[in-house]
Amino acid sequence: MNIYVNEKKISIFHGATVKSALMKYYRATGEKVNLDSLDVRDAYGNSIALDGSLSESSRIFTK
Amino acid sequence: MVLVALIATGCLQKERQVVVISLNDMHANIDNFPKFAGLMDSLRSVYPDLLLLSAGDNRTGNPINDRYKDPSIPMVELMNATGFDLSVLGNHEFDGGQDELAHVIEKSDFDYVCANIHLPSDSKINVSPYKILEVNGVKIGVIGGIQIGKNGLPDSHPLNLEGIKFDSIANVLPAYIDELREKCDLLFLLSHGGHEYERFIASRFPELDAIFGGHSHTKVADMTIVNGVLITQSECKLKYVTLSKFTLKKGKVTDKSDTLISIPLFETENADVRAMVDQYNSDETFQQVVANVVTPFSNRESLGCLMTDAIRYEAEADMGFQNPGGVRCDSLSAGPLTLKEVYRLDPFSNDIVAFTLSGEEIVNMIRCCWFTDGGAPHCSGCTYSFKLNENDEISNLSVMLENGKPLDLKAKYKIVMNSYMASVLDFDHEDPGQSTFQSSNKMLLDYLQDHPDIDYHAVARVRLQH
Repeated sequence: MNIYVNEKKISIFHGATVKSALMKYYRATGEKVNLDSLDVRDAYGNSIALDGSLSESSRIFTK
Repeated sequence: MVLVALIATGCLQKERQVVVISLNDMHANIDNFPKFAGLMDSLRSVYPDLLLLSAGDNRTGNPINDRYKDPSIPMVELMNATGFDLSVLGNHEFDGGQDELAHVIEKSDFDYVCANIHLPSDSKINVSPYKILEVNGVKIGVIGGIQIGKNGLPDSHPLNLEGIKFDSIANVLPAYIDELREKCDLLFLLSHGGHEYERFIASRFPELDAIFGGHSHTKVADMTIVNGVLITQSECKLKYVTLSKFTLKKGKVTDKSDTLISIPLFETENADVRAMVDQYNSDETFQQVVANVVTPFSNRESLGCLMTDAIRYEAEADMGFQNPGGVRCDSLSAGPLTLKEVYRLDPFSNDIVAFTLSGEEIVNMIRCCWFTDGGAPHCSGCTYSFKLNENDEISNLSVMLENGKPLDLKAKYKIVMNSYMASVLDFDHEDPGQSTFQSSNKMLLDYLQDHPDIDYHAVARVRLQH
């Protein structure tokens, strides 16, 4: 499925969690990031947990 | 006489208030229950008639609950002790299979609701599409709804859902709204659908007064009203509850609001619930013997063979792969293998992901794992050997299948790997993959049930040529 991390399109397996999407995103950007330290938000500004579920076209943002 | 008549017809009705405490995705985090129960005691002293609702995924995530001698019963007993009124089915409620779910519901002092499930006629799972609750003379219709994925099923292993059909929440809601709107003063959706979907439902169904949501582990900290529908969700694992208030006058909702309350920050524990949790945690669950090790494991390669055999067997795949970093023990002694040792071997609880890959894609995956994880992946269903070139890259990779034939680069194979590998290995593959929604350590434990005597003496499947 395709989801968006910081507006960058990420193709990932169906059923992926927020954590899996961020691992793939940061692998692609080359940044070394402690995922547990991130503030992750959905498209509405709500905080979401790393083990939260994603669905097709979900948009998440990190701070 | 006139006054009596007026009272009877409700013409002198005062404002009435309904208070709901909702939470979701507890995932058996029993250690937060004593404070949660203490908080509920405190809230009930102020709001004695409050409703307590769970938006699903009560289990999965803590072996003390999930592998208890009577699986999931710790959560059932804790929810009973805390006075839950209703729960919706979450996708993880199915993780122990349908018989286990039926048993959990039977032992619960509260009901389960789900309107978009269609159970076979002989199913023992006792679930209703909705329940009508009454608080202070206010009739409240609570409809249940569970998330479904693109395959038309909730996110659980398909074998756990065999014989059950699901519809989308949006498809089934109109009929229940029609049925309940006239009977009830308040209409709620108790949803395990994910926040994004719950916003969509709110935009379609303004007849709902509130959606108490779950599944996406979203912390809805600011009051969210979409199309007049209040939407809540309190992250996960008993970190928060949401307190929602509904004020009614003459049968109409005149005000609604919600507040998120932290459970860990609440200082007072319920002593009885603390005693229950201490008892579960000191239980011999972790000491239970799950298999017998015939000859000791003395290296990670043989342990990796065991782990990949387990995921391949459980997922009925052609091949299984495991990154070397995911094997967390160097050895295992001969003799009884306990649950604790299995979790020490594989503490990550990563879900297993299935792919259909060509032989060429598999070769690229192995190369990529060497580059990314700093080691060659452990495997099941094949053996392989390779050389390293002057840049420390894999060369001369030769993969042989279990039947003794070489890997066909053009053929397609079903392979499984953990979600860490599926996320970080950057190799081209046509199939995006599909989570099995089962963790690697669950698969290992299930495998050991079918293979109680394990012997990996001299088993090695990966060879570096010199």
